[in-house]
Amino acid sequence: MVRTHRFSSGLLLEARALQDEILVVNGMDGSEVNESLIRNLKKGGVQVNLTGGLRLGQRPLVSLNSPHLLFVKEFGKDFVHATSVTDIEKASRDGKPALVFTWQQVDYIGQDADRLFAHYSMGLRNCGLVYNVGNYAGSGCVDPHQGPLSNFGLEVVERIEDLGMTLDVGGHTSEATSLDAIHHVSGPVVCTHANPRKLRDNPRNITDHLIKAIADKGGVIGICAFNYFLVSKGRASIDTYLDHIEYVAELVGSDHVGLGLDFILGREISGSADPRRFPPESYPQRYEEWMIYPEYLTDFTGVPNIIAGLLERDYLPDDIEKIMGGNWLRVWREVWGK
Amino acid sequence: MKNSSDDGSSVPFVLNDPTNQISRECFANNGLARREFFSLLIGGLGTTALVGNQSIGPSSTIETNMEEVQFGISPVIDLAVAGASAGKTFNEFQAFIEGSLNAGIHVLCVPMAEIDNFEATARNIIMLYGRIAQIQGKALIIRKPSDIKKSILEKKVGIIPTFRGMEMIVEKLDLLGAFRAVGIGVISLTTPWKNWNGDGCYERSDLGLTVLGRMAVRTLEKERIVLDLSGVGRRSSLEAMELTNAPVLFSRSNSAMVREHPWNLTDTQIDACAKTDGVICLTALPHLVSESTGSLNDFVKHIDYVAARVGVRHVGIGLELNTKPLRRFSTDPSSNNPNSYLKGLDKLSHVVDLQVALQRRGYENIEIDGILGGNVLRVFQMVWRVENEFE
Repeated sequence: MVRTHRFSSGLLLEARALQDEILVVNGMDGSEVNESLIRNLKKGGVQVNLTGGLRLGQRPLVSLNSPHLLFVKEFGKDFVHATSVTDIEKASRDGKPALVFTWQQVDYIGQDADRLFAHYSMGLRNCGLVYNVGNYAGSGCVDPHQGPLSNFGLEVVERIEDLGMTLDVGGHTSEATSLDAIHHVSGPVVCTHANPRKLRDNPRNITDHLIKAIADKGGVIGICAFNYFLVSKGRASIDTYLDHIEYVAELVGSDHVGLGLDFILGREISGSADPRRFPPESYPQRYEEWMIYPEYLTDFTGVPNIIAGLLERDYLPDDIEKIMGGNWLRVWREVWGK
Repeated sequence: MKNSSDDGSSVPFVLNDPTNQISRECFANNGLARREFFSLLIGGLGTTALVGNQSIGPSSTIETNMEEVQFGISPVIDLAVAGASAGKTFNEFQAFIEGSLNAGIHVLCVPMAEIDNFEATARNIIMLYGRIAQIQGKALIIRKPSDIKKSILEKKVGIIPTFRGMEMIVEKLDLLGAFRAVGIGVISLTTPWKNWNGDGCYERSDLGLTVLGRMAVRTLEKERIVLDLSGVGRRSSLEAMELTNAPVLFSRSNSAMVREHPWNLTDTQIDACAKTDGVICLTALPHLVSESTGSLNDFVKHIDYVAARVGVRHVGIGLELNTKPLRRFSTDPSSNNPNSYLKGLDKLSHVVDLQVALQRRGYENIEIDGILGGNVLRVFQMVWRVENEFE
């Protein structure tokens, strides 16, 4: 008999009931920004999506013609382009998904940190520093030599803090650069999408040391559903995904873990990845393998399964609420200021 | 071309067709610049292919003379001349060219790169060609070693357009071939600040090269562009010298033993440069020469030091006359030194005095010829090697 569900229908009903009471936030998404994303978010009961995905060759929020803003213009009635927690709460009351815009690297501002102000004005609320390989700001997770922020990186981190955006470290950014950045800010910092290296030894995943440093600042670590960050071969089960959540929750507490699913839905990519930026120890070399997700968590409709899994592991509803979104909202309220 | 990132926001990496890439990405908004750059590109490629046919060259008499002369004449080559760069007005440029002619300087390396701005960089190159056309008969672009002879014989100033940093091409190394074709002969890996190749010398860290930096070193070698390591951090520069098979240049650096400064070179760097058979071009930038206001004699101390350590064969000049360092971050150490000029070596016409000073110090004439230009000419001949292919 083919099993179509990992969890019993009773547990799923319980999960759905709990989900209706809480706000579910995905801390990182790389999907194409289009109508089917909005439909998928609604279907999975995900109210907030931190989104960095876009069409081929396009760059987010570099001008008023950026794909995100054009999408907002065209389909803005179906969702909310949120720049504050107030916006998010209103969207939730109106039954619309909220999209928050993010960068995973600061390359778009060249060497001019002041330009961050313009992107903040266009809605940028979360900002990563380095994407895998070193740039003006610091070093990336696959660099052969890793070190602290550069002078420019230091300026960037100060601007991000001044503007009230969440600073995104770890994952793509090297540990040394991340720790230096954490040292230079007073408020919480986040790692939107990376998994514990203790469970899956991949340079793209983060060490216990960094997880603790982020938690010490009051931040959150978002757990990825990117298969290769969960298992070295084969396909991960949703239980592996839950193990990663549980590991971080046990290491630093359930106040410091969330979802950072990093789906890349609706994107047509195929062929070989560039090994300079995506070396084989960190990434599958065929893009087709990037689209593999854990069983029962292949898109946003799998999100209720995460709740069911946490219930099965005897997590209390309060903790589930935090993990499923409350932690992100707590940090955003504090950093964004409203 | 496929997008190559799990957030989709990264710049695509490998490009097989540089010209297509130029047209699609780099000239998004400027049709005129695109057209002009392409005609330069075609002109550039054409010139290389037509070496010896005098397609754009001098009259045949001069060509004959050149063959006889071989490299019997000693060019004076200044590796670092921001004074004639694109940021200057036409009048300033013209004055610089005339000043160089009068001072007996035959070849200038003129920086063209605009950080992060491919279009502006390409426009600088177009503008350089335009200016050279405007002051016809006084300057020419050096594309190959024999152009240096040509500039001397025709009594013109030869100009080698260079890049200080590779920020404008990001990781699109395929574009280097196109830039080589329009004459860019010398390129440095980084500014004094961090980029995707490695760390600059004023950075908070002194890391080695990145994977991209290593590929950049190899690509520069393949494209026959001289690698300039001035401003590159110590470890990154040492790794680059270890990696390359070509002689390298430091276009404007002094000895850190004589004047301690992060821009200046440790003995290890000096030794490594000599090991590549490269040349260290010593600079008259006052804050790199001495702690307090220095003079021509203080500059000569750097020449003495490098010559004594690795031999006069590895000494050149990259004077940076009339240049004020651009301060970028508060941590920039060049802002610590208030002296603005070097006594006795702050004008083009002082190059003659440098010659005299070197004679007084007991350098042989043949050594002085090497310091003033012969040594870097050797590097250009070894790296560019264009003529061997077409002759």
